Amino acid sequence: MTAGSQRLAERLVELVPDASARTAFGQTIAQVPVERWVEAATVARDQLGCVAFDWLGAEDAGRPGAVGERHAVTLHVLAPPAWDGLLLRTELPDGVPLPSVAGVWAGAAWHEREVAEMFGVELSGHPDPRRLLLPGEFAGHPLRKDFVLASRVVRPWPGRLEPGEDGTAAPSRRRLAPPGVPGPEWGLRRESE
Amino acid sequence: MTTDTDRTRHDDQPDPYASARETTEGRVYTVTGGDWDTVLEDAVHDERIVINLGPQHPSTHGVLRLVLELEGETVTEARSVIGYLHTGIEKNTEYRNWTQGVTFVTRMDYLAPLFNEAAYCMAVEKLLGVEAPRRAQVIRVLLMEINRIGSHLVCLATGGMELGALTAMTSGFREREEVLHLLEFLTGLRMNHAFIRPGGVAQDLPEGYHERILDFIRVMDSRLPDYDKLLTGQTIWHKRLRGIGYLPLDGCLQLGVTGPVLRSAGLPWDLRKVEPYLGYEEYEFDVPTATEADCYARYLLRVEEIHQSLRIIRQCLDRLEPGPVMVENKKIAWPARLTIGPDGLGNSLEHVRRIMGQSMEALIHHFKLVTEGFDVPAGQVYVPVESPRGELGYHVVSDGGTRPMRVHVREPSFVNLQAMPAMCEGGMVADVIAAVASLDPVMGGVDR
Repeated sequence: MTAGSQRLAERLVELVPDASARTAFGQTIAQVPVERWVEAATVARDQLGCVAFDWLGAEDAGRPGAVGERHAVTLHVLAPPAWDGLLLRTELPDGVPLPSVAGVWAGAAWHEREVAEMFGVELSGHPDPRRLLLPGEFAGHPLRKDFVLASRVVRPWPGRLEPGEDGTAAPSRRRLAPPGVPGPEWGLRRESE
Repeated sequence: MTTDTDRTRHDDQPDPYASARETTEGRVYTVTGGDWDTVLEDAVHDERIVINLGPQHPSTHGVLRLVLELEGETVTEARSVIGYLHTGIEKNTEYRNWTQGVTFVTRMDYLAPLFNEAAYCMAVEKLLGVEAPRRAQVIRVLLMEINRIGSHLVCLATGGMELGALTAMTSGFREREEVLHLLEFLTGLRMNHAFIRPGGVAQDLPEGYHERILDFIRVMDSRLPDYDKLLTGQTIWHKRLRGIGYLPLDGCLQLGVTGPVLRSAGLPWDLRKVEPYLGYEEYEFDVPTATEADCYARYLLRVEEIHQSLRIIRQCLDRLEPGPVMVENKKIAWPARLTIGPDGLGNSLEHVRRIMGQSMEALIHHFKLVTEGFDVPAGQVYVPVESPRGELGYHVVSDGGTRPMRVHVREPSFVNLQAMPAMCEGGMVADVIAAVASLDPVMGGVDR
């Protein structure tokens, strides 16, 4: 097995229009536009022989200042007999639903549900687009970069405090917030304050 | 007590097995009964009940909740409800530097912490373009194989307990205690070791490791045959596991199922052989497979894998040659090897005296490296390893900073658990427990 095989990615680029391949760190990623996501998946299974599903994951592709506006979805599938892996990637602008590939590989169903709830991505054509890990009343999409760790704002964090957090620093010193905690514009930092 | 509604119902619908006639004393029934077979023919087969197993149930392998729709004792629909152990570890790594990420990922699959550490560190090293020194690689293999034995023992122990074989549970945990004692001796902690770090391992192995590991191998060699006596030939064990939880090869591939479940369907897929890492190609070991694709085959494979891991551990001892256990790169490795000697005192005093007294730059560098961490070139990689439950992979994305942009884990427990309905639907309700136990999901890994 070679994760992100160059051979498979280049063959996919030949078969699917608008696809492009890029190699970095010894792994090749085939990038396809979101309109051709299901088409590329079907080509991968039927013509490249990628019958084995491996994983599907997403990331917040927005850089600081543009978080939550673009999401990248990565799919890895394997082709026997050498069990080489094809890395497929697409980028979703905000508000564009992710076409489901659960009809191509049944194993993608849970991964897509996880992506949907964690990043606030809508799914289209999914057999069962319910929440998977989060409870029904949970608000927000935790893996987006703009998601604030709200429980850290209202409740003192157990264990050792961040430097300057215990109030012993000089008043003029800038208060350091722990990672993931928003600025003072959110109001009082602690229940005790 | 008879209510008005009862009377109305009786009046409207005469009982087919008890004819009634009105007398001056009231209504008199003549109960005729009937042949049980004709009674069954008349019965309508839509008496479905939905039962809920878990999330706190001794037989569901952790905080896994199963919702089963039953018709009689046959499962017509099975769904798993997960998320009770969601810890947000993937999110937390984004707020810590690359080295601190190890302390998070080791807590995901708490039965295979060293596999998580190794896969994460290998992904970071791939982005950094460095390779751990030879001795560190052998130590990683050694620790992972010891960990694999412990994980498989827990699978046998809890799987046995869920099926009522309590002696399997007590002896499985007894042997696992040996594994944990050894890991505590080697790494300092029983679990959540954070011993493998990007660039190598945290420390060299302590003095006397060779004898301790040989003792461990001796103990395991003497006790493993007990499992064959206790379970392998046992009639109840056969009856509970043979032909149960059947999942054929095409189903495994469709769903992405890996590990012992895939190998029980006949495919010799083991990443240590398929895509060797950390020098696994130099070790001699076999990948056991079976073709029955049932729970019993998976049990046998796990026992055999324990034997193969012991074989690898023996070879590790021969390959451990003196050398560094961390890369020499000063931008990645901490300047001080903070170790504690036999006298209980560390070597840090000497180091602190040197950086405080002689070199301000060395002090600044040390401070920055510990608090901020090192930069990792922008890009993304996917690095898989063969964990006890299957392919454990880390898809790590860096934006060039000192913290990960995204750490996505391909968790074998999560992927394998999706196959639960395919293994259970159409079977008996008691076999659901056996099937889930043979998947061996660890909820810390499923929910992350």
